[in-house]
Amino acid sequence: MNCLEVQESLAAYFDGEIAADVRSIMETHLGRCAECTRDLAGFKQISVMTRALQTPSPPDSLWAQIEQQLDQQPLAVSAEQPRTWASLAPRLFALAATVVVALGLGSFIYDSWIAQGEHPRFAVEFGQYVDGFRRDPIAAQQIFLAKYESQLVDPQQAIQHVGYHPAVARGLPEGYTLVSTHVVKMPCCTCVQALCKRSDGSTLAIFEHDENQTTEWFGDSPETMAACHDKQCCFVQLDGQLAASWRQGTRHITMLGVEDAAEVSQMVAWMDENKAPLPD
Amino acid sequence: MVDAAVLAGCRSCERGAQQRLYELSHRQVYRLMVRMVGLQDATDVTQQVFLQVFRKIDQFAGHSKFETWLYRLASNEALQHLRKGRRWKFQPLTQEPVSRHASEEDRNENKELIERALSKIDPELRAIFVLREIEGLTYREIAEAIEIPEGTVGSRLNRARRELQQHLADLGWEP
Ligand SMILES: [Zn+2]
Repeated sequence: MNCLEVQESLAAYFDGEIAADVRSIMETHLGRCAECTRDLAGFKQISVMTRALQTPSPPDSLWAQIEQQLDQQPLAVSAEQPRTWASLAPRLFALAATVVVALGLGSFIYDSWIAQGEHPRFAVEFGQYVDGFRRDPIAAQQIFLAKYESQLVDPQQAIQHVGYHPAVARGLPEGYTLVSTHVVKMPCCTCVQALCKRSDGSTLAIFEHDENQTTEWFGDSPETMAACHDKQCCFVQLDGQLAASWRQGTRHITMLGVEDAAEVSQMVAWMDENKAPLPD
Repeated sequence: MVDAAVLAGCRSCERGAQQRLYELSHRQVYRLMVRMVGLQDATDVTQQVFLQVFRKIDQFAGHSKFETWLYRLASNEALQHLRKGRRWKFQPLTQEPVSRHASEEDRNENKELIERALSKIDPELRAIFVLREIEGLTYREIAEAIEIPEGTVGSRLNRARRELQQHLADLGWEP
């Protein structure tokens, strides 16, 4: 066998997919040919590198999505009554009465994601992000950022992308550290998303955006209004966690992974105190 | 292992059997999809694969292993997805912005290089290479999954590996 013949069968040799007699002929050649031996070593290196790659797990919600698709096929024939706000109103009313207790006890009511906004697919994706955020905020963040056009920015430079200085450009209250700031173009809006850590290591995401997005983002998850500092804040009860949204100046702030109303009050107060314009 | 009972259940559209099949095989399908179409589309394409599996389960004749048939549907779906051109901007995993904390896991820059090199080779070669190196299929199984003659699997793997080496070298990789 000459080099060319050996090279042609090199993959099969490497993969153990070659007859024993050819194999021993190739081994003889490889024993005295540095070039073919180097090629074989290259195959091995690529193999080692590839096998070392790790794959994140698929989102836990994937089966539910598939089931939904499977269900939709027969359902497409019968006109299914869509769930409306009206049908949810009694439950929301009951929740509003108990939300103070719920906030304190951390007993949350699971509610599935139902797209209410203009971007149903986005609502499902955002739901996956929220769901993932509770379990592993950093992993959820990576998957979320991969879905949309996003850019890691210096908070002071975010103005170049969104036309305003986000609140986090002025820093954060004591006890919080900024992990990253991204400008994210989502189907509903472009927002500035800041990932923050508390001193205990837990994670909080702060979104700043132009319009109120609680329905678009959180579907029909139960909401209730509560006064925080001097503002009316909308609290959204998610499966095992809490989000809060309020109007801050001409924009809206939404925080995901908030601890309680006290934390929101503290953040609102801090943003109010630190709203002096920054130089452009 | 997807056994005869699970398959029979899927043929009669039993939800429990469908869920069992999904549980047994979704990781490998998703893993292939992440490498084939990139992280941002992997979930969507995986979903499509399983909808196809349940729709076409009657076509699985049992001549080959179920896994090989599943890989065939999955590879087809991935290649179709890429051909549709919806995602020309295939981005390897680690090119995406990562937070400081995640970077601890991505210390190994070889990973990034191989992902980038993989994203540059022809999708069919990529499928063959991934089925061999990550999924561990034999040449016969690859031939069935990709629907190519078994005798051509080796030469395509030769090509895939040489092209990967070339891209790695272009990216500045030093062995
Ligand atoms: Zn030689």
